[in-house]
Amino acid sequence: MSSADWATGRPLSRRRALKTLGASLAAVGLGVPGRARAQQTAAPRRKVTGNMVLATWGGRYSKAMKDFFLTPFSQETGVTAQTVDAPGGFVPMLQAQAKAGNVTWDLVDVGEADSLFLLDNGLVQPLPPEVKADLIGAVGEQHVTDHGISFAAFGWVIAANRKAAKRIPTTPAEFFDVQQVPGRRTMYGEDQLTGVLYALQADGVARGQLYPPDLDRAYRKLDQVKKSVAVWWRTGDQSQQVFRDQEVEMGLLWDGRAAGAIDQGVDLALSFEGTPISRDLFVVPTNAPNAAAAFEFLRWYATHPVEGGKWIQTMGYGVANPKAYEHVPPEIAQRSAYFPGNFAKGFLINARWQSQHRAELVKRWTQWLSQ
Amino acid sequence: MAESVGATSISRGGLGVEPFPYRPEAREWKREPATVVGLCLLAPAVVLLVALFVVPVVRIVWQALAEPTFGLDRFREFWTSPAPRRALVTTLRISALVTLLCTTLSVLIAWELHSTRSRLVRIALWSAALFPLWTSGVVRNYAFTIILQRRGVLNTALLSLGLIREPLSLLYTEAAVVMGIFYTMLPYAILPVYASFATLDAELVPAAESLGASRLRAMVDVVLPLAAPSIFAAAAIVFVVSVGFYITPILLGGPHSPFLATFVDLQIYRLFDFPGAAATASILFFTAFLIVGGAWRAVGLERIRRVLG
Repeated sequence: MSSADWATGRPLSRRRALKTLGASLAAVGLGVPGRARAQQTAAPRRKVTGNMVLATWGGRYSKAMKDFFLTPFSQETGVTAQTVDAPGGFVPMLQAQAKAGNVTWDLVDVGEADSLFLLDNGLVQPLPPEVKADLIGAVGEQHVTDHGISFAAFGWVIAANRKAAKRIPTTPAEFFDVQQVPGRRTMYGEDQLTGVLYALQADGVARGQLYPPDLDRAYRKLDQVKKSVAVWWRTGDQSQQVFRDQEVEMGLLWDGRAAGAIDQGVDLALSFEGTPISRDLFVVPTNAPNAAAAFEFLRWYATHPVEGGKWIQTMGYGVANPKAYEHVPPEIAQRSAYFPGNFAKGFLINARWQSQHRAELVKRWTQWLSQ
Repeated sequence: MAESVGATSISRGGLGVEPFPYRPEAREWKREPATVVGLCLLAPAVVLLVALFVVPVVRIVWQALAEPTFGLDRFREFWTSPAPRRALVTTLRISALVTLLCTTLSVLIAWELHSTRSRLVRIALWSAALFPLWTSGVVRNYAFTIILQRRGVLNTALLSLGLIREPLSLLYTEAAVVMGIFYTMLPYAILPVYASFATLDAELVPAAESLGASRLRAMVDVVLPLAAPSIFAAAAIVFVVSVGFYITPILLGGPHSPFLATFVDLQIYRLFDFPGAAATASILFFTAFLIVGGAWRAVGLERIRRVLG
């Protein structure tokens, strides 16, 4: 596992810790000013110039972001684009920038619940109505909010190693049934909500009735599985590593990471039954130095499914434009929770509810886990 | 000064020989520089200390007190919720254990380094002692992962030797965290203790033995008291650095051994609670300060009492 590889997952405290060790070196500008090409002249192109700074997750993730989105966008528009790595630290860093009166980011790729916190605190701006209308026209209402457009959607799938597990769990109920489905498990250690949502489904709550979650009931169910959880993974890399090293036989992990483990030779069976799905949003900070370029990028992203398909194929995370899946080989697409066929078995996490109850959820989870 | 000149002359030249006659009218060499010179020499260190240490600490404490409203609420929150209290206790317990292990082993290793005649042993020990310093933190922690995991080096060895039947769960435990921090901190303990042993008169132990002391008694009554300040300094360094550990508990520990630094991380990055994080950091700082200060006083008093008889 190369350092570039493990530094590509999702909210990771370890990556934050290690960022200073070199990931920030990757945060150099592209600086390839191209010439605006008039190849897609359906809509009149708005004139945007200058430099656009995108805060994102680092490592392989940032590289794919540049290769598939920023570089072609630069070549078409002439806007230079650069990425800054701030994995999982978007909210506190943007808070600090706003407090210092010096916002340097034009666009942020941040989890939806965190983006709502930013919105509620006036740190990101709502989409201008004409931008929002264009985005909805391109990808549909489901993938656009008042302040951003969905990107890098990912689900929490049930995975089991066919070579090691005695029985393969296929539903939340089976994953929580440690008698019928014995085996060492792994779950996300820095969780807020997905463990709760899985536990409630395992306890028989219908998918439509999960909100508001009955936390007491969920934690009683979580108590039943706790002893069988050998590893509470904290980073995407770790969730793969514990399967590779057969530290565990089954677990709940991100679909992109599960797909990665399969590519590394682990014989994983995946189930998307009851999968909670999260997504990032691309949002534009208040007082962003080049907001015009950022909004133009959102339009570009929404209307380029081919590039979206390349991104899905490389990273395994979903994009807003549903047409992107037409450009992905079916066997790859089927490993993704955002793939329409899998999406039907799962559900989108209610980010608004999560954002409102953040402190309560984090504290209860942390306390339960440390007992 | 005059006394020490005299003493030197006695030991060098034998009794009654006075190679440098004492002349009080001559201008004495003073060990202490003039106050102004002393202050100038100190200034860069003081400026750095104030700018990089005092100011940030004051700001952190101030943030914990003043935001969003002035008061002790953030500190009260810390003490009334179980998660941070547990993290504090875990941090102190593991750090104390690491300090004990590091100090004990560093005395043994440093003495062997000091007294061995074998070049090979010395090279081997120095390499072992300094290797952790030359390895990056990430590599060091990953190495422990590889050694300790279920199909790791240690379990494989124990299984093939037939000592265990099922692989042991070693990784993601408190023991793994202790091992990781212990290994990292060992050089910081060995170096000061070795420096102190190196200045000891090599004849002290044989002298004590010639007066009838056993080897152990000579070590305990002669060598250790002389090295005690360095041993204590080593322990203080190990303890203070250990309480701030962050990466090792994350990579090697499980949720059952949360460190306070990881709790600060949680407050900043997942609760977006800067004042709360500032309060946690202040509590960690002052707790460590009080423990080290208290231990320093205790050891200091003990030494004074021994000198007085």
